Amino acid sequence: MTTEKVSYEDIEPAFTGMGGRGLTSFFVNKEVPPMCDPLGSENKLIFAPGYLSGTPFVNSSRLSIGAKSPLTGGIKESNVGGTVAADLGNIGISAIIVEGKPKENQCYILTIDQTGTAALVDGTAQSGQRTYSLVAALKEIYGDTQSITCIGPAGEYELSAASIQSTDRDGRPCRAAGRGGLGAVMGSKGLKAIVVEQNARTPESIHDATAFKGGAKEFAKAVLADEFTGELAELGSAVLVEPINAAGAFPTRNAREGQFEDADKISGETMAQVIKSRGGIQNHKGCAQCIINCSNEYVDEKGKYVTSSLEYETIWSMGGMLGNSDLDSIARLDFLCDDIGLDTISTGVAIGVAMDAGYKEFGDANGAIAMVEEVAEGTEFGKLLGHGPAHVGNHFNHDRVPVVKGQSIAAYDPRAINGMAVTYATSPMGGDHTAGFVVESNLKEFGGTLDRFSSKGQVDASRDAQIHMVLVDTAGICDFAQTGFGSAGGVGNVCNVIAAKSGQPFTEEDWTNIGKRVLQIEVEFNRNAGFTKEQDRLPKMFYEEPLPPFNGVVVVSDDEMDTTFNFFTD
Amino acid sequence: MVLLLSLTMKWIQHLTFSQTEFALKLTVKLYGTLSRFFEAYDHLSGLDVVLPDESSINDLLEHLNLKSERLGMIYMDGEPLNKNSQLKSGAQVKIFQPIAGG
Repeated sequence: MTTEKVSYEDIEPAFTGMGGRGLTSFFVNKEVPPMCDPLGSENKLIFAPGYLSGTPFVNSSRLSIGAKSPLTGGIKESNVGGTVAADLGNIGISAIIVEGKPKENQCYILTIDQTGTAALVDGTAQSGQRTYSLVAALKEIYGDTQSITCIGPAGEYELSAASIQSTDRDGRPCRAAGRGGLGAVMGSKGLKAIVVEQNARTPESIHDATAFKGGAKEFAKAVLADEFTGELAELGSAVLVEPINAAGAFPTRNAREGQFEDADKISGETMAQVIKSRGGIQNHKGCAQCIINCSNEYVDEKGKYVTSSLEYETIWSMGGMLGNSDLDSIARLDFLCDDIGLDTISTGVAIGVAMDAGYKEFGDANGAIAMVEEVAEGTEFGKLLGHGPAHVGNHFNHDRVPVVKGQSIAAYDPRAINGMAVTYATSPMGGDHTAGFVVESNLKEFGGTLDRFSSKGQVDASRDAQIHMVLVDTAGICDFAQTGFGSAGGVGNVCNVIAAKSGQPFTEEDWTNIGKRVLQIEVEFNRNAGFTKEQDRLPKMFYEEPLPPFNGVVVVSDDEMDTTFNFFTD
Repeated sequence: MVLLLSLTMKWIQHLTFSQTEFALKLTVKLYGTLSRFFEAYDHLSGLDVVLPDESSINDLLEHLNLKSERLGMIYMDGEPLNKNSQLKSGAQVKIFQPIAGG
């Protein structure tokens, strides 16, 4: 961005066979000085589709975005669905790397056509635009068959909770790489949007098409056969509201309680009923290659579009976390975050902290909406909110701030699910739920394996989940398609698919070893950025405040936490 | 007259005895897509179920024809049930499907 030039390179041999998070983390660790200013010229922003993106593998259009995070101060990988990863895979692009920093206030659009030819175009006219208007404007210029990945005003203000948004199959900028403030990094580099042409027809890059097809089919069958797929299609990820609430793990009113008395007003069952009666859409396909269709289109009482897709995490962060039982206002807040380019999780938690500190009352939905609008207006409070919950907590001198490494936890309270305590505390990503999701293994009352109120087995479970998730994010497989690993061949089947693409052997041992290696370099980057084991701890509130109604606390000890990465090599 | 009265008393006793055999009354709420098996299911009120005394969870699931479904958690009045739990009359039972997450 400093020289305003685009250059092309073949992927280094060291990175062959990598994609997604494996590629972004190796790259960031190799080329970004750990002590650099995340908003300065030495940080690098890397966009990498998953290794399987652009192939016929189902649910494989996932884009990983990596950099040093301005929110955590450590390494970050954030991923997003929609259509762009499949498009980049089809063109044959393994990564887009954005380096340097332009002259003051310059704003650019990066265009990439079907042949992979890229150009940096002046974006001054689009500067300051909210994402929905931006996408409409860019479509006027470049036509309808483009995947647009962009920032809103929050990213241009370089706020730490700024997201990078990307368009779904309907061309709406409603899919988000939310966590870690990568929108701010993109804004600091003067890059407003990346416009990628769809429908490229690059020669097949799969070495053994027959073997690939067989494995992909096995995986797809397992996804379709699993009950959870049907639940997601009918109710969306919002199907999680009632069970997590019943388990007393739904952080309510800035995590003062684990159960929201009005959970039924914002549940997946209720949302499905509202959408159906108003003529919205469920069972909606948001992302390329998807066979689950967990997305939805939420509409108002007049049937007019409000937002897509309204997810569990947002229903929690803007609902339960704020004591807000009004689904319409939650949907509006979801839209505002997409439009302004903000992480809904961090923003909801930031509002929750502000309410807990007395700035507004819990349940004040209009107050929440006004706060988020202030981010776009660029007011002092708006900027504070846009920097996330830790900054809001500091500002109000509030001692109840549910963050780890500066990033907020998500919709599972660690006091009610001790396995999540380990993931939140130890993941190099900060408070992150998908990085090592251990909720089912902690919640099976019938023949379950782990007691969620005990530390027993939790570190092992989190470790295994974290290692495994690296590869899911490297291959570019949607989190909800993990039911595909339930086929007879399991992980081995997916390894065969990867080998069929690359033409090189790839075993389950490789799967695990790469996961371990990537975690190790991520933790090493963080250490070199100044993190110590003190950053692998949860805030005091989680150890000391019993969470009603089951009154658990985090019981995993510091020593136990510190054994999570006991597999690191010298 | 006395005979008639005593026969009537026996009949009333018999009626009362039969009703206590089926005295386990539950309100069942079905989550996720489980309600698709029940035509007139209203999620606000749930299903009214009456079972024989001493019925187990398996009996309840059998009664609801959900035995062959893969299920998730089952809660009774806010507490999780395990396979040895006793059902209580007057309770609200919540039946969930399996979950994975995000």
